[in-house]
Amino acid sequence: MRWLNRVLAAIFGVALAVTGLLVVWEAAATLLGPTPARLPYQSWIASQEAFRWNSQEVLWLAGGLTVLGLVLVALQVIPRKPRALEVALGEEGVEIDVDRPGLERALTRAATGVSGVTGARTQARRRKISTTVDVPGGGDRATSEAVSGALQRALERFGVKPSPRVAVSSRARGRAR
Amino acid sequence: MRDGQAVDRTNRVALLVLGMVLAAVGSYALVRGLGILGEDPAADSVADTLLGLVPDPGWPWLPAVVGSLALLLAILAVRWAAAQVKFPPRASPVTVETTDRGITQVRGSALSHALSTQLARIPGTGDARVRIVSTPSGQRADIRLEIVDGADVPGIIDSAEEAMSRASRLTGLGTVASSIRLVPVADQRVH
Repeated sequence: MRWLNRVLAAIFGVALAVTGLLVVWEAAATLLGPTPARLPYQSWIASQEAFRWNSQEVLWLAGGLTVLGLVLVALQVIPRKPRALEVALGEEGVEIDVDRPGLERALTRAATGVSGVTGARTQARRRKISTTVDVPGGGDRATSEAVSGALQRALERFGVKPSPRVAVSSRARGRAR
Repeated sequence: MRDGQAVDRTNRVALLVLGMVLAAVGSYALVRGLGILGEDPAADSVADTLLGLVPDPGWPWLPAVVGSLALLLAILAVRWAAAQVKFPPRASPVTVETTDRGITQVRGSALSHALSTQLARIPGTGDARVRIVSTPSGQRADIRLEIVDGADVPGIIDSAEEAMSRASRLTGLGTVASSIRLVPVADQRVH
């Protein structure tokens, strides 16, 4: 998502810069008097006279702009996974955080280390850690609590702040080891 | 704030604003074109409507104001586009000693390499990468440090900070603002 934003930002940045410079050129030409280098905007506007607000072309363009705008807004407001989670360790003035994908893998390893768990999947966000564990025959309360404890210990080791809520769910999958 | 975070944040806000403007303009044109505002506005010429937005073409200050605003927009847009491909600044050589006979300097990359080696030797760590860059407020060290499962994380951080301050003292870097990203890894990955 960040790379898509960078590409979009570069495209829109260049487009806005070109538009701005064309307007500056036109404004300068207006201030300095008639020159042959002026943009042919009068003839361009005249050629657009035929277009009405209810023309098919205008409606298609309007629809396209609306969709493009809404897609852009949606892309920005969709919550993203953080790159890293802050930790409360170290001296003041030193920014310390823990890599989110690395932490997810570490928590998955911690969960699979619990007896009876054959597989796990973890998603880490700032306020919530969600882990789904595979337990042959379905998980019981004791397994969930054991996994939850293992995850809490792993999180405490890194001192993630604010301490995220840990949610463990289990599914009947895999073979007993 | 690390390199790139500020750019990502700016992109998000700018693209959100741009998206809202595009959606607003597009939906107004749709509403007007579909006749929701009445049949007469729908049949108006688009060019005439847009020209009608110009306050008064006869005003002498209009080109200067529009030109200035457009120049400001162009400068901001160029800076925005350039920030997408901007590489982080490299550290300039650090002067360790100046005497009558000459100057002793340490290259930024050599210092980064030495620090990386030192950090990777701390028990419980895997690979370590240090990047020292010059910023307007001074030198900055960005550290990426692998931590193996079960390692003493607070102890590793203390050792890393100690190594950083020792390097700062030895090379005369002064206070180095730093950021440390911990990357948990499985024990088997570390050799």
